[in-house]
Amino acid sequence: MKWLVHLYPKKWRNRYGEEFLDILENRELSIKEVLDVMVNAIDARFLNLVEELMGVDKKFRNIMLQSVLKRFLILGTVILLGLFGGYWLANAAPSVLELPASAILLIGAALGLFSGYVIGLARGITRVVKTTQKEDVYLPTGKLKFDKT
Amino acid sequence: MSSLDRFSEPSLFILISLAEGNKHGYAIMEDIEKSYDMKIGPGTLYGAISRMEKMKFIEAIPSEDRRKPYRITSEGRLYLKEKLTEIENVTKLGFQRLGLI
Repeated sequence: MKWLVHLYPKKWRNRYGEEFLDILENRELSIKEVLDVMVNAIDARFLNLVEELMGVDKKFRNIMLQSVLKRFLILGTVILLGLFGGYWLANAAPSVLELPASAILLIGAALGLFSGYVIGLARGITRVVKTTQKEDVYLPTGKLKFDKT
Repeated sequence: MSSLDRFSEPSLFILISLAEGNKHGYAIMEDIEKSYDMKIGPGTLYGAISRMEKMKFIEAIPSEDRRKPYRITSEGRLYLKEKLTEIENVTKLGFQRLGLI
């Protein structure tokens, strides 16, 4: 009867294996009961698989959240460096009036791109917040759940 | 007992059995067979036991014996009470509509 116990996942066998085997050994099993064990073993394996997948999802989310934290740290450092660098440049760089027309054009284009990026990012965040207030949204960083009360 | 089929949720029978006193799997099985004149497969029994243990409706009593006894928890008692009340309400309504009470 041990083969019937082995149909169950290892985790289940470690917990219930001995007592379950005791029942199987002390009972004259009908075909119906053997089938009952087989069906429930499939069920237990399926549940075990779901639990394992949920565990993987949790690990994945933790990794992704750590990654988001790292990104914020990097972004924060870049902003700080930019601020101090900009301040230093403002003191050291010549006046706008002294710059050649091509340099002004280049700076203008760069500033335009940067502003577009910031506005786009802000709009994206606003859209995500608005959507998640209505429903749960799954992002690569995990499930974003907002208080909908 | 075919009349019990509608409410033949194994977990309910297990909780009712444990409400009487602590029992191991084999004793629960025998109690159900004796009380309701119906058979419960070992797979179904342990499927229900593992689910209810996860839900903290029952818990295993530490034992060196191969047969581990189980006891019903306070959450299990509450769940059983709720379920039996539901069944009682359905039964009462059924009898009323049949004009039997």
